[in-house]
Amino acid sequence: MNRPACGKALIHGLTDTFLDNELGCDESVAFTSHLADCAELARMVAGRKAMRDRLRAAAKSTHISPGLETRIKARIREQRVSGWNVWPVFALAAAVLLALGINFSWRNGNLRFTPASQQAYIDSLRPGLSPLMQVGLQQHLHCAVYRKLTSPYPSLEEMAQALGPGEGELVAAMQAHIPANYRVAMAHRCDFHGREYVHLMATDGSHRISLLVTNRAQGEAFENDLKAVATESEMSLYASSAQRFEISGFETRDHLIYLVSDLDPARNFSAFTAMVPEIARTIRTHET
Amino acid sequence: MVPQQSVRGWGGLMPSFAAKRAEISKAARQEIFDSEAMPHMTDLFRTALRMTGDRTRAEDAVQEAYLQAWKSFDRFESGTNCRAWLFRILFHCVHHHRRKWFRFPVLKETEEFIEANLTATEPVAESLRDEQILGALDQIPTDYKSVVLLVDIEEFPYKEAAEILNIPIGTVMSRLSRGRKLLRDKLADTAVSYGIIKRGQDQ
Repeated sequence: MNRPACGKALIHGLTDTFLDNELGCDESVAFTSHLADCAELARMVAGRKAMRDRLRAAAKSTHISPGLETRIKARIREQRVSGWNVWPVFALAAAVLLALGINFSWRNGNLRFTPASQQAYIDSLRPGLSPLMQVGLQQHLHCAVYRKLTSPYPSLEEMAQALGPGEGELVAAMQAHIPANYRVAMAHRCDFHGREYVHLMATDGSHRISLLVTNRAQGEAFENDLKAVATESEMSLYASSAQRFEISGFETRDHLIYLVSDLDPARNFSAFTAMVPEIARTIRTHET
Repeated sequence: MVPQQSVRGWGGLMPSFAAKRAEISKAARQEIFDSEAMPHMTDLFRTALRMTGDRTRAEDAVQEAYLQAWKSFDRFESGTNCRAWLFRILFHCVHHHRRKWFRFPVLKETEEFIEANLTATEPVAESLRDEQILGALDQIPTDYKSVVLLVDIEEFPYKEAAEILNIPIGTVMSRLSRGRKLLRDKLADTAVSYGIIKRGQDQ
């Protein structure tokens, strides 16, 4: 460090601040006053200023890439679209999709948490279905679709035993003819809207298939309202659809038998056709 | 010791006029941005280049700064110091990227103000070429180079430099003194190495 010959080191130390025009009023007066008398300070000011000017000129010789402004403006235009238009539209679209999804699900019978709303859904499927097909569908919805299954499922033997001799044989018959990834998970006797049922239900975890057997009242016959779609073991088989549900049915002398599921029509009817002979034989055995 | 300034958002330099902004259309907003912000691109690029030492990185930093500025343009009031606001955003972008690009040495600031300012080294800058001067500048540690760039080249007052860098004004002044001294020393070394001056002349 070189001390100035004039001894005014503090004043000389303000050179850069003076050139920056950042000196306070008193300091500025003191500095300019000394500058007028001190050749060494004048040289210092001139040298620092020259170096600063030279540095500024060198830095400002830098040239910008010709395409940069265009690229930046293009990116900003993209942001105008993505930042200002797409997000609100996206949010609106998501809300609309959510609403549509909820509506679709509701119309398909999902999200029905109260008995009244469940019954409303059952009632909504009745129009267009023959009275006897309504019998099978409403029991499937009431007792299989809107039922929470206990886990783990009882064994097939336990369910057969619970149903007793005769109807108990239906458990094995159903299990033998439903798709391989399905398992009979429930078998019981129940009643709904004045009818008694033997109700077996199989599931793959997400879909449910019901095999329903109920007494046939005087005069009840599928042929009253429907045309048979096939015959199996000399029995006429009937099929109907309601929304996503497939209902297949046949009748014996004293019983109406249904297979109801949300499988596609071909799979539902194929499983039904396969199990009809064994089920019919089992039921007829006990129709004395 | 000067107390640390509170950290502020981009709106720190500019009062918010969001309500007023909401009244203007997107096209008008773009037009204002183009006229207020885009003219400073060369200044920003020049500084970014010196800070990063690489044209591609500098372009990336400038581009990001403009995108950030566009996003928060609602906070900028037309007619106020857009340039300082952009520099503040730029330095944020550069410092953000610097962490992954470089590992800059951080020098302990123990310099004495007078010592830094009374060095006798006054190299003959006119004799040096632009690239030699910029090469010397590039060798200065980043914290010092930042203030030299802002004050000596971009001619910001200390107060605005402090706001741009989000540091106290006293720190700006001490870093500026130290940075200038380092630059003078580097320029002297450069002048000696190119035979422009002989060792001893610079002392």
